[in-house]
Order: sequence, then structure tokens, then C-alpha cells
Amino acid sequence: MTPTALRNGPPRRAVLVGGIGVRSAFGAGLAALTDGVLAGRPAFAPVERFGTAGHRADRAATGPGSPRLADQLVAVLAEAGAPSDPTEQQPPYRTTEFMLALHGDRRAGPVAAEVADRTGLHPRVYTGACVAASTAVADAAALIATGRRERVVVAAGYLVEPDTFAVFDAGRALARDGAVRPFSLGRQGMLLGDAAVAVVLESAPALQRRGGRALARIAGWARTGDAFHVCRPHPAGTGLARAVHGALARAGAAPEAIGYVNANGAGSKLGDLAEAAALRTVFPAGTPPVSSTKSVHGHALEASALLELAATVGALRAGALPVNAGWQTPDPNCPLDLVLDRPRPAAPGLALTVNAAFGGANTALLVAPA
Amino acid sequence: MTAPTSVPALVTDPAPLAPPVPDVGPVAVPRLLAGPLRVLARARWPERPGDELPAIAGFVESAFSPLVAETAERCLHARYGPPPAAGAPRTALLLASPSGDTGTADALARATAHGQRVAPLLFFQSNPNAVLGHVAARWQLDGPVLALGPGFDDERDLHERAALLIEDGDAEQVLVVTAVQGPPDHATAVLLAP
Repeated sequence: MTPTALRNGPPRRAVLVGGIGVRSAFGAGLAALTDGVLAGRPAFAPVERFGTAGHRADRAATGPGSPRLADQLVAVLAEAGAPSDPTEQQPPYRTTEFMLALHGDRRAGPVAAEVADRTGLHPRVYTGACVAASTAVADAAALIATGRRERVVVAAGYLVEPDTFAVFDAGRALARDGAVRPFSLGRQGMLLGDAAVAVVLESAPALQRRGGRALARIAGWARTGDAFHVCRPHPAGTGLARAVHGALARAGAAPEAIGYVNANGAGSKLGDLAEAAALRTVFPAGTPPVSSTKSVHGHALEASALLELAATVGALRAGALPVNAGWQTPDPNCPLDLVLDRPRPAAPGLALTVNAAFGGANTALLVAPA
Repeated sequence: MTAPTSVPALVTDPAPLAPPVPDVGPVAVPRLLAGPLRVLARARWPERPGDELPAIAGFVESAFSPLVAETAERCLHARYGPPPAAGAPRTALLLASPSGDTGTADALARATAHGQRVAPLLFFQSNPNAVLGHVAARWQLDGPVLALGPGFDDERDLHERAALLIEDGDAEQVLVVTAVQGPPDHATAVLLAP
């Protein structure tokens, strides 16, 4: 048991990342995702999976063909080492908790059921839009930190498909110029992207017992609400800032300990302004390096936060901070230390990944090197 | 595409532009619960034959969001009277629905299948967080906002998730709403606290 330092409350155990599986527009595996985000080349291309005639936008970051979501999820779960080890038949290992973030429509149930049949894992589905997966990670971390579980698997999946493309296009949320430009003047919005991701979170004893090696540690987490609007973020970013402070409190760390921010940065006008305000609140003297990797891999909706957690872990392990691609012109209301042009060397410290969603939902996750 | 290297200097020093630091309120403090959560208030829809759902401005085509909002409204009203929930401790909103907003999903699927224009308002209600944002803003509840689907099959599962949020420190109480779009539509709400 490795207690983490907390300013208040009961002692907690370390939450380790024991495995990651990824499918994204950059291909299969964490290495492909890491290489893609560090190359800084957006993966957006005209959508071939379905027709986009009649829509305002026509691009997304997709993999080849029309893969089935359940197949992708089973693949990333295997890659992450998530299915139960048959040698671990004693509680609590026998009852690996499995949280699965999916779009909350009728398709979620059949996908979850098929994944359960093929993996032996029994999903509890999170449907809370762009914070679905990070909320699941926070819940998983809390379960492990308090000793309720030794091992929790979190997975998430979204593959670009006609219905969500159509409704985001109708809501004028998609960038017509084919690029995502977080925190830049002239940004037009988001573009969608494929992702299936699985992350295994474990206590130190569970990881040691199976002879695994930690990829990273989840040092802090928090979930908050804005209490402001159906879909707009609080313009001062107060809820998001509170989430970051909450994650820092759990980590027993100060803002100065954060060496990189993987921003939500969807490229939307209001969302980016609110996020910039939140980061200025947390870092009044200036932010650490910031980038939104949505600028290259797109917005994977319910899977976005887990894809960005994977990208953050990959960046920390590579020792390099990915660029905020698509950026053109300074927005005076987004005064952030953006990583532009080329990756920067990663400084020692924690990495913060933040997400925000409709309903004023916010999450913050702090990632420490293993 | 990225900008020329000479430009970034303009955005690397935020200090001169930084506004006064707003108060973001107290942050999470983990705690240990001594026992099961108490039910402070409860509500359901329908309550009686002929029970009606008030419409919510901006939500169209589907009864799902009005169902969630009205059931939450009745529960919160039973505890706090009219909105906002003055004096309420930090309250999480947790919505559990096994099949989600089928009315919105069906409207969207019909439009795309027939190549019709998609109503822009469907964008805002295309995920279950939106109606929770309506409830949170109306009642001024700034705890976590969670939406859950299949796998949270009974009341005990939801009480466990509510207890986790409170023990973990992000909320002091939790409004749990379960909603199923039928026919017949039905929903329940409970306000849970230590």
C-alpha cells in the first residue's frame, strides 16, 4: 500500500496505470498515438465512411473503413491486458470492475453486452458526453484509492458515424475550414475523431502481484459542475478551475507542480474562452505549457477524455509535449503558454488533463510519471 | 498548420492580461461514511393518472428531458421549496437511464435516414448532460454532473455511486434520477445524504 499525501481526509493508496490500449486515427497502440500527436500533423480528411453532402463540414479524423465499435473495444481491452487473468481467481481480483464510456443511445446496451460476452468483463456504462470517460477514471481512482477495488478497467469508444456527425453539423459545432484551432483567433469549432481506448488502473499490490510495470500514476482527480447553463460553460471557468484545485488537493500538490496541461481545447469560441479563464485562475502568474491534442486526433466525444489521458501518458513517457496544432493568430482572451510549431521537452512534474461537457460538467485528472 | 515562430511570444506571458482571481469555492475533502445514505426527499413521474410533463424551453421532439427535469424538480421542491435550492450543500446530479433519450435519437435517425435537415436544437439535447445542466442552473447546484447507462441496474448500484461521490469529497449530497422513456415514460428521483 502506497499512501498518497493528502492535506485532509483519510489516507489513500496510489492509483497506477497498468496498461493502455488504443485505436485512433493514427492507428493501433499507444506508440502510434504518441507518435501522431508528437508529429503534430492533424489526421483530418474528408469522411469516406458515409456521405456528407448537405452538411456544412466534411472532415473528421477516422481510421480506415467502417470498423465495429465492439470489435475495437475488445481489441483495446486485450491490448491493455484488461480481461481477467485466470490465475487471479481470489477476491478482489476476480471481480474486476469495468466502466465503459459510450454515447448514451440505444446502441450502448448491445455494444456493452457484446463486449461483456467476449471479454468476461461486465460493463457499467457512463454516458456523460465529453466527460463520460474522465468521470469513470475519477470514480475508478476513488475506488482504488479507498481500497474498495484492487483493479478497475476503464474503456471508452466512439467511432465517427452519420447521426452524431449530422447533429454536430446542424448545431454548427464543426469547423467548416477542416481544421481544429484551439485557442486561436479564427477558430471555427471542433472536428470529430475515432477512438477506442482502454486503461487498466490498479493498486500497487495488484500490479506487483501480476508482475506488471506502471506506465504512470493518477495522482489527482476531481469532478465539478458549473450550475450555469444547459450547454454553455461558465464564462469565468469557475467550475473547471475548481476541478483543477480539487485534483491538486487530492495530489497534495500546488499549481506550480504542474508541468503540462492537456487542454480540453475543442476549438469552440466560448468553450476555449472559458477554459482559458479557468487556467488563468489556477495559474495567475502564467500557465505551464498547454496544448490540445484534439487539434490532431479530433474530438472523440464520450471517448475523448480517455484518448487524451492516453496521449498525456504517452507524452510524459516520451519526454516531449505535443503541439497545439492548427493555431494561427493569438486570441488576447486566451493568454496561454501554448506549445506551438514543435514539441517541447517535458519538464519534470505533473501533467494535467482537463475536460468539459454540456451540462456544465468538468473533470480534471493529474498524471504523474510512473 | 501552425503559426510562424515569431508570433508565439505574444501569448506566452499571460500575467499582464490576467483578471482578478475569482473565488472558485471550496474544493473536495474526502471523508468516511458511517453508514448508508439517508433519503432526504423523493419523487416520481407519473404520480397519478393523467400526470403531465411541463415543456422546457429549448428542448424539442422528445419527452426525455422534460421527464428528467420534472422528476428532479418535484424532488428538489419537496426539500427546498421553489428554486434555487438556497442553503443546499454541494449537490451532485446523477442521472441513470438504460436506453437514454430514445425520442431524440429516433428524431435524429429519421432525419439522417431521409436526408432531411436536422433541427439544430437536437444538438444541444443529444446527450443526457444537457437536461442536468438545466436542473443545475435552475436550482444552483454545482456538484458533479454524471450520466449513467446500462449496468447500473438497481437502486443499490446507484446508492453506491452516490456514496462514492460523497466519500471522495466532490459532493455532500446527491440527487439521483432514474428515467426510462417508454411507452410508458417513468422516472424516480431521490435526494441522498449521509
